[in-house]
Amino acid sequence: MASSKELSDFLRDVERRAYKQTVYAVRDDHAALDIVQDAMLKLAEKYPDKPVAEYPMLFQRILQNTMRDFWRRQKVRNLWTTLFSSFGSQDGEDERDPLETFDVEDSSDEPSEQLQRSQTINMIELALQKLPTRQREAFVLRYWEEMDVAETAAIMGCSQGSVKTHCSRAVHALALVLGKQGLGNQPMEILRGES
Amino acid sequence: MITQDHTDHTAIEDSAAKEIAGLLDARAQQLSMRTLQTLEQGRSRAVNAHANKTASHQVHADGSLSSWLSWSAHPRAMSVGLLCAALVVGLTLSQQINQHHENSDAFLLGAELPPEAFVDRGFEPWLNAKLELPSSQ
Repeated sequence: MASSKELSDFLRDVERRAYKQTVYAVRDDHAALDIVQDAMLKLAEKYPDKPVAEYPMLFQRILQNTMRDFWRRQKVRNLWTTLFSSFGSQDGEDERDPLETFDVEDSSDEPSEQLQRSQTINMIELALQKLPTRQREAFVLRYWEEMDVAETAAIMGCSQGSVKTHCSRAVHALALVLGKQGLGNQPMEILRGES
Repeated sequence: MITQDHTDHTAIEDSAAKEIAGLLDARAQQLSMRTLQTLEQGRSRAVNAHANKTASHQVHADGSLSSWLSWSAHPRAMSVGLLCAALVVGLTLSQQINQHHENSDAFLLGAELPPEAFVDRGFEPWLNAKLELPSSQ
């Protein structure tokens, strides 16, 4: 059984990646925060007796299911909002919060390097958001969460072969997008050549 | 040869994917303060919930009555329990009905009258009338 400290350390380790991963999937910062918090709470409440070694897989599975629940709710909500959209008010924009725009400092020193790096990451994030859901899931779990093929397949509920196919397609698609922007290094150029 | 090519290809894909994942990781470290605070609040709530759950597990481990009541917190176990109870009740009822039928059959077969006599609605009034006749005479 994992202790509260072990749970806290685990969540501290994964929360940022989980948040970004959810943002790429749902494309809504506030919803992503809610989903990640929900997933954290579900993990703590439903699996208090599990060892900490099982937490990465459990947490990812909970996160994926919570995202699916969000999409289901969103589908129903969209139906009603489109019906009543003509009654909605158009005036006023969201208030800007200074804390929202305050980013933690980048470690690299050169401003031009920082800018280029930031642009590259922006491109990757956009490309990742445009990927089909299954490809994005497979890529994030396999390469970002560093899970093996069997674990990724178990979380996604598909075969290991499917995971490999999704991952390969995702990497090729991302390499292609980066290539169009003239970004990426040697391995990506090889992949682009193949695509 | 083909296997070698496949291995090389997988290695290239892995290398490219890891490079992209590294860049994404760097971006994940640059979240706004507001987002980090919200995540921290969520984490604290989860850790508190975990601590409460762990404490309640330890209380129940002593075999007190509350450990039995804690089954209500497990919907699947409750569903299985209810299903089993329904099965037992159903089996008992069907056995009782069968037993009743067996008794009826034994009564019919062991009676002096033919089974048709019990079905005939006029038989009982006729029998009563027959029995009353000698006493009235």
